Amino acid sequence: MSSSTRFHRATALGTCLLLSSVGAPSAQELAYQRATQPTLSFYGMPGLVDMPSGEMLPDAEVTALYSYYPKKQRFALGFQVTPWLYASYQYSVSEDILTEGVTRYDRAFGLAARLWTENAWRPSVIVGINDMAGTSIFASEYITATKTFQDRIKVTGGIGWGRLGSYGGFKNPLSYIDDRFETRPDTDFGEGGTFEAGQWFRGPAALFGGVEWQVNDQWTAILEYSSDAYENEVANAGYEHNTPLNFGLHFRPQPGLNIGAYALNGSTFGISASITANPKSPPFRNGRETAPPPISPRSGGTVDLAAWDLPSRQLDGQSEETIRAQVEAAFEADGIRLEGLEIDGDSARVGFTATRYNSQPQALGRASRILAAILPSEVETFVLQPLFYGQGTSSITIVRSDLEDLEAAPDRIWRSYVRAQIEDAGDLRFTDFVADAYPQQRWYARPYFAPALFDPDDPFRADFGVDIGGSYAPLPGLVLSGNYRQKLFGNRDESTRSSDSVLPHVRSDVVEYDKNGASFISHLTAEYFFRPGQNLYGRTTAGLLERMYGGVSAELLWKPIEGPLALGGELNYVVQRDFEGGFGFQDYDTVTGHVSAYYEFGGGYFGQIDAGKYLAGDYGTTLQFSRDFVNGVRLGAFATRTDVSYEDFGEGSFDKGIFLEVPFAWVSGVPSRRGFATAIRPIQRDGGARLAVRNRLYPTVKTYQDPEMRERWAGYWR
Amino acid sequence: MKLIKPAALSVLVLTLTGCDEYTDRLDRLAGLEESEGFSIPVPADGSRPVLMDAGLEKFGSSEGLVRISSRGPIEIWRAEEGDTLTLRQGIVLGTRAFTPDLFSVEAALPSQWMDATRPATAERIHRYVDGLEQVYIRAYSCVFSETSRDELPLGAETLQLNRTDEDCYNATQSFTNSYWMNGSGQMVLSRQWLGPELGYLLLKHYLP
Repeated sequence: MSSSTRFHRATALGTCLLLSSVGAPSAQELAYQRATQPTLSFYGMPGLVDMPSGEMLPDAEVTALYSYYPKKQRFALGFQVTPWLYASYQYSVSEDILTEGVTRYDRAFGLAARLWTENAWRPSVIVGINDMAGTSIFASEYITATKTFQDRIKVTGGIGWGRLGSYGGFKNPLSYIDDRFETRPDTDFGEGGTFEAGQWFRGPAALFGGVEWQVNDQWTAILEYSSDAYENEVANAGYEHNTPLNFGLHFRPQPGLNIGAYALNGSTFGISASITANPKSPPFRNGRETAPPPISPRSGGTVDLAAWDLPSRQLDGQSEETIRAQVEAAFEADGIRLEGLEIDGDSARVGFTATRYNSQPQALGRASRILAAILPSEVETFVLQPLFYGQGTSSITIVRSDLEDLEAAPDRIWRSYVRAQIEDAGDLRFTDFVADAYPQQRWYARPYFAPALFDPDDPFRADFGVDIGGSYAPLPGLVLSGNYRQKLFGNRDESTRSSDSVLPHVRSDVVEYDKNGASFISHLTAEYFFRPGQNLYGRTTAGLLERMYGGVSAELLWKPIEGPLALGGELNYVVQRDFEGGFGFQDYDTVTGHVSAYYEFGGGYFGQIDAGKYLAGDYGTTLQFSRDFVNGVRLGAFATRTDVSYEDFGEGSFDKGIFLEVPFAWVSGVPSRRGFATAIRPIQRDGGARLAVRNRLYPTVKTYQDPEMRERWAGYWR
Repeated sequence: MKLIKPAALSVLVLTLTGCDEYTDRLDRLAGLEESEGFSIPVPADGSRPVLMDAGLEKFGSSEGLVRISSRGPIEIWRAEEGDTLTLRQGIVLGTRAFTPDLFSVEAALPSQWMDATRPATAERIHRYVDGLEQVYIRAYSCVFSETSRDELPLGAETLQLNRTDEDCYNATQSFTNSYWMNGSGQMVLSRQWLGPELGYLLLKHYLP
């Protein structure tokens, strides 16, 4: 007979939920999701071959697809914006589609929204609209449902309108609700780029469907009944539509990569290739940097920190200069620039700039460990003050005993966060900046890559070259900096599209800039950053502000230490630079400025509204919405409406686009404060154009505050 | 994770061929019949501080570790390339810089289960940090096996080792940690699961 022994430990699972997300999928679970996740259609939407399916991708998935069949190519970018909403941006190149001998370049925007998730009895159901703002050659609307059987077979059925109602069409069932659904009106596309809601779900409808069989983790076979008659292609491009049946075969050599081959309508072969990635899953999770030094206790243990060039005992009784020199050297070795250190009784106040870590909590953690190893034992609190161009941001108070106590606590992330006090540092001053903290200087030369997209003569052009520049900061807050962009090779100057804009050519002369000044001074400025008061941040910039404008710019931001809302304002007087890229100017000058509201909705959703006067003198508003991932990846979209009419604006009707930011740390696993950012506009015109001044305050200030500090606090221990 | 060093591995294997019989036999005990290149790079002159050997099974390489922190029952060990491992009574409490890491572990300790009546059960809690820098938790139920005897011939002597297996499972995962202790209750060898990405870590513990 044996009795059972059960160990009990004091684990407060309930409280630790503060900072944890129980139920995140494990890697095994993620691998399974990736193996069974939906394939993409020719349009880059979740789908079969040409038809949409009733599925969504995993939340936050980002896709890029290229598809080809004779006389048609398509590039598509997709993003699973929320678990129930997928957005797609498509660029199609179609030969002869409307007129023989004429190649069309169409941009299309599509959305698919999930109405119901799949469960044991019910399929997943989606309503979608494709090409909702384009020239409507590819426009379709649909409701589609997909049910999975035995994890290997998926059956899809749906009803479509527009292109998807063109084969086997019947009277629109919605016309029983309202007669006007019976016919699909022709629309005057005007300048394009506006929502053609007048067409949606109108005209004949048709049924489509298909079956996917996942043979194994790598291969999927697809049979599809298509309701797209390819009317334009048959009429103008010699396309043969022999059967509504399409066949497809998908090969997934590794998760995230998909290659497809298709037989279309009994006459044509097509291929596609797509890659998918998820901002939630960086390739090197938790980073590749070496481990931080263990926390050096003041009593009750021993450490050997020689590997970090740190003393294994605190510097008790040493002079402040010796201590400061040690801290400075150890900070420097860990990518932290010490700017001020004052020890007052049992408290040490430390000002520093993180030059390596893009996670502020990680820089705080590293700094805390170094201080614990060096500072005399009587120092009990560390007041950490990360600086932004020499100006105070937040002040984080760490109790040294807490640090010592929590090193091995399993739930130390939230426990250390709740014990750290985070406050506004205000307009802080160090009576004694570290001797060589100022002046600071930095020089660099690094490669650049500057693409120019969507010119119908050549949809993809780019320049490559070297950025050479540097910065010099004589005093805290004051930065003199410049950058020269030396083109090495590229073809952006080959464009022949001159601007036909009726507005002042505030942006549309980009081709002239590319032709006449392929190498140029991209900025040469004096900037001053300051703290006008509690929760207030200020910036002034003067000089050559950006490629096309020089002048002066002033910004003020109100951002409390916590809370979702921030407000700001910016006022600029600018003169348009000449095309050559030196110090010359053109005749055009203007005053431009905006008031801005920034709002964190929670869960990583972010919105921004800017209202004011734009470069061409037009008044209006920009709306921006993005999904900001804690690790620094951002994806979003923006649109600007001003008092410029669609006709005056020209092609596209109003300014809009999508943007993407990816930190190098996400890609490489190596801590870095640099990253890659790009905005993709269907077309850049002169209406709704904003100045692109550097170092706008909000994106930087928020990294020193909650909620970002809280969300990244795990980094404190990394 | 710097324990993974494909380039360094071949060098290690070349320079340490014919190395120490003791570690080969430990490999055999751990079920690694072919030894797969595991070895303890012990400096002959004893110039370095105490060493332990750690290797991830799926990468087949291993590294010597140096103890860099000893605070009460908790020790932190560091590999030359900069990753660290936290241990308590030989139980892995966490890794740092393994990419990805096992952030922390709550588990029953040998002092608690060694002499406990069987069947002995305990919870085991692993915390990880995901790609969005948020903690997620995996909890397991674990059963400790009856102690079994393994013999480790070492020169003229034969070491008697007590082997205990910790069988852990939850709804989607299962693994078995194995621990070999000597007569005085010190851990000599262990094989501990760090998570689905890293798999099993084989530790040849420091013996004074």
